[in-house]
Amino acid sequence: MTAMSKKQEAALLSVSNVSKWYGTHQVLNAVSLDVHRSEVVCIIGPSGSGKSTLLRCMNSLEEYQKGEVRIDGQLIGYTTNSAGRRIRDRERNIDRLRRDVAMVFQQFNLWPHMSVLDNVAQPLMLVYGKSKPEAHARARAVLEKVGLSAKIDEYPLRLSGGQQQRVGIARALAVEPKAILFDEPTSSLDPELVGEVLQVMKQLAREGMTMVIVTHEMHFAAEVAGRVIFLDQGTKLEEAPPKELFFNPKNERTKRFLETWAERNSLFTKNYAEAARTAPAK
Amino acid sequence: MSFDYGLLIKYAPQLLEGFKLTLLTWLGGSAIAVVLGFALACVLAGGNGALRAPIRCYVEFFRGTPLLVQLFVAYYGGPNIGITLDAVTVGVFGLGFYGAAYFAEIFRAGFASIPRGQIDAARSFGIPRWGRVYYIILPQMLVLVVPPGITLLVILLKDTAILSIITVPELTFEVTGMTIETFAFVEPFAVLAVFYWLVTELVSYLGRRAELRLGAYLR
Repeated sequence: MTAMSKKQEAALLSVSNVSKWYGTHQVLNAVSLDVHRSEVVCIIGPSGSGKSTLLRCMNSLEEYQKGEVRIDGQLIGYTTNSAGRRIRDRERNIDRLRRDVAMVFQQFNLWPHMSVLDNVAQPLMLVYGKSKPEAHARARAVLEKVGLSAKIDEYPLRLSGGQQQRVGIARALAVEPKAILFDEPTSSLDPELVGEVLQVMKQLAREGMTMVIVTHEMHFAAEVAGRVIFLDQGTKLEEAPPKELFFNPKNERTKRFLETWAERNSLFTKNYAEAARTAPAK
Repeated sequence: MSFDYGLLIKYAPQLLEGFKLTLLTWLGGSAIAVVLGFALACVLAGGNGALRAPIRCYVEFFRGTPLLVQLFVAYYGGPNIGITLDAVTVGVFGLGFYGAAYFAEIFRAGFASIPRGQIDAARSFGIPRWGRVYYIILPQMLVLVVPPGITLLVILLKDTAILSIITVPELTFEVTGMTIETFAFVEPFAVLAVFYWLVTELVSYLGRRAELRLGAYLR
């Protein structure tokens, strides 16, 4: 077999022309997006632009009215009935395809009544039919990887946000998914805890994990993404490697969004420096 | 007037029989109420819209009318439409159907209290519906339904007294008979009060234990 280039090879995750409405309000407007193996794609954009909704359409957590999503070539979420009409697929079929993509959530969404170890082991036992010792062994291994070996017997509510999110990542890793979807993984964390989560994600990227990340962390996106998508009002306005999108955006709206962001950051840095300079010496 | 213990000893066999029957009707009725109430709540929380309306009607009817009236209609009205049941059967099922309406609401609220995100997480891993209910919803829901559930069980216990008017010979029935025969009021009703109170305390104690144990993860 000859080696194929990434572009020719079928996409691992393929979103084509997905449109979604809440009533008459359109939240996604014919969005298409291909994610190949070992690629890291970051989705950025203002709040309410449909970033999270798009991500949730990718594993069919959300329903959508038009377009299709394929996971490793297989259509997920919808099928056609005998009359040729598009209908929601059976939950069991959707569940089977979902196994290939794990998800990490903004609010962590750990199960608070289970220990950290059980949180990670539960999907392995329930979905993959692993025995308890097998599942626990695997869970221990991934928890060690995210640096939480010392916390396996704790309940999630006793951990810091950063630790909880690392459990969330371990839970996703444990099922050995083909890709992981990250829905604003650091947005509900204290600034001081963001780093430890990003660190783990960077390591995953280096190891070749396929990742789709909705994020507001521009520095992180610039560093790890192979491609960045800018979404506004449900429409994909721009898609480019980070160097291009961040430093030479083609779209006016992208430019404005990034400028606002940069301005706020530099203002902060400037004011901070100013305050430090004028502060009375101790 | 002094407290006549002799009277209580004399009537001990009847009182014990009544005590036994109160416990039995209460346990039987409660079992029906919990199981049926849970089943109703599952349908209310689940997807099937066609079944929701009749269940709402059921809940509104049994919550909206007094147990006394329901028992009367079933026991004295039943024979008119060809259903003749003995008093204890009517009592147990009457209590059960009545309690089920309340339990349905308690469990429904319990289902609704589980954050959506936890269910999303389970779905994202492909955990099937039964797994989500059994491993994620139920354990957390139990913590929440124990306090109102215990209160309802206590209310049902005391509502067994109402069964006396459809001639179920439970404790209140026996005590009433005793007062008619002896003209003594203090002793029989003291026994009655102490009995209900003791069982209530026991149930509350068990409830608190359950609450602490099930909710350990919250502390």
